[in-house]
Amino acid sequence: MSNEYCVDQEDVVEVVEGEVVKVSTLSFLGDVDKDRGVVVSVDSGCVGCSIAGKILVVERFRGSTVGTYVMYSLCRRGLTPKAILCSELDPVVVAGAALCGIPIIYGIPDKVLKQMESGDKVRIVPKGGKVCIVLEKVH
Amino acid sequence: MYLTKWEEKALQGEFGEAVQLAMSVIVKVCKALKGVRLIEITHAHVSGISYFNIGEEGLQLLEDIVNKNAKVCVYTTANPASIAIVEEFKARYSNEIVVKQLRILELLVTMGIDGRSFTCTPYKLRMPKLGEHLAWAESSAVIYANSILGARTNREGGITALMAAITGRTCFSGMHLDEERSPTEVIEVGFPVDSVALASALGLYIGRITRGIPYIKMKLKIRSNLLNVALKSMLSSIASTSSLSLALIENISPEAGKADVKSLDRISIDYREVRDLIESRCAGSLLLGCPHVDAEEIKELLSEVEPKLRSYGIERIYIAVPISEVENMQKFYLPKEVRGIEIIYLPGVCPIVSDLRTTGIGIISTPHGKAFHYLPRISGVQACLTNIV
Repeated sequence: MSNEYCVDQEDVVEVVEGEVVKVSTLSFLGDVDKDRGVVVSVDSGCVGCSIAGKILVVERFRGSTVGTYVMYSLCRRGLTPKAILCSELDPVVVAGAALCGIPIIYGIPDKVLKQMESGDKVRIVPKGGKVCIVLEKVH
Repeated sequence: MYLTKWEEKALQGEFGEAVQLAMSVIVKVCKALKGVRLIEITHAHVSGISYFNIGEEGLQLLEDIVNKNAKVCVYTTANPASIAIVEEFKARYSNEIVVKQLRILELLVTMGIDGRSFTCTPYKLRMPKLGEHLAWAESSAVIYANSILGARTNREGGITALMAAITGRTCFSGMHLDEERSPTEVIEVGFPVDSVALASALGLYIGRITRGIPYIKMKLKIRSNLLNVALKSMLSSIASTSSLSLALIENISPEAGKADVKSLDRISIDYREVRDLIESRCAGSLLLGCPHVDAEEIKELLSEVEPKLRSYGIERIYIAVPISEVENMQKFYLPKEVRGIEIIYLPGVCPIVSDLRTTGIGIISTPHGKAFHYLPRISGVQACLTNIV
């Protein structure tokens, strides 16, 4: 199965492809092991998942402004996700993503995020003022 | 989003890598906040100065930004550091922590941040005018600037405030807009606020119950020399238990007079609802100066607490002050002890942003709601809200 969803967004310039790691809630401070790039919070729904080089899908962000620094530390160690998909943006995460050059695609409806599961394949494609997310289910 | 020619050029890297990075963060965060343009600022205030808060990652980021030749382009102040650099406490921390804390301060000064700041009361160094646009982090300073001075600033993150300092701009959204500064509910305080501790307890309570921007009607029965300490304590307490950046106080906030409150919901606060937060005698260490107090305020606070120290069981007093006040403190002949009780001044630092578990201070008495709220959460020590002043 494969389906596509597009949002109006201009700042993504390159095609990004990867495997989904999906978490229900995430703070970069406290919920991610900054030395390994692994999700450690039990209520994330994906404890033990590595975010490095993945497409990180987050239903809801929470937590401290120190999260920006943790993201910076992750990118210094090459442990950041390739892209972040979410519905509501969190300024703390946006600042971290801007420092690291990680594309964030936002404004994705909850029902679209809900279709994505860890292990699925996603292709993020810029299309003239829009960004389209092509989801390929593996299950 | 609209960008000026200068902003476009900055984003394309014409003014160097540091400005490009800073502009890219500001623009992306502004898009996230649904801002339509940026606004030039006159003063930035940066938080995230304590090594305990920002850790190795924060230090690394500051090193990298300085390596890119970053310089602030507007007047910029910074928050207090951790107490690890104060003479009395140095031995309680590893040398690594002390060295790294000092390195953070050095990097900030290299970028052009005022080395005489390191305070949570940047308005003491440069008082913003009514309507001035700022990019301040530090929630207590933000709510003071908006509510008491009528200046305009959102609650910036430590990083975005630094990026705003480097670009001289922030997002034109939230508190910068007229329409976001109107009260949404009236809070009627049904008792006279007659102490700093009561102002704190009230602030903590208001922060918990308020859902929008409160218009506060209250009677302050505090002598004029301590009025500002009480207001700072109340507002910083509100900002501890909420994410508020503005509270309009009747007859005090410059924008309160023009607010139309007739149609707003009213909430009454009874003394019984806040009194349970306050204790009298609770711990031997007394912390004053949250937010930081100046030399004159210290004099007033000490004259108020002096007769009560013994009966409240106080054995030592810690007072957090801006570095810039050290000269004034000498001018005011501030004592090193009072009635045989030692006073330790903490210039340019803050106990709340420090890990206090190694200091041997078990419990802290304080009349300040922000310290009471955060000490157990951040510093790892117990705290009680004392009505000593």
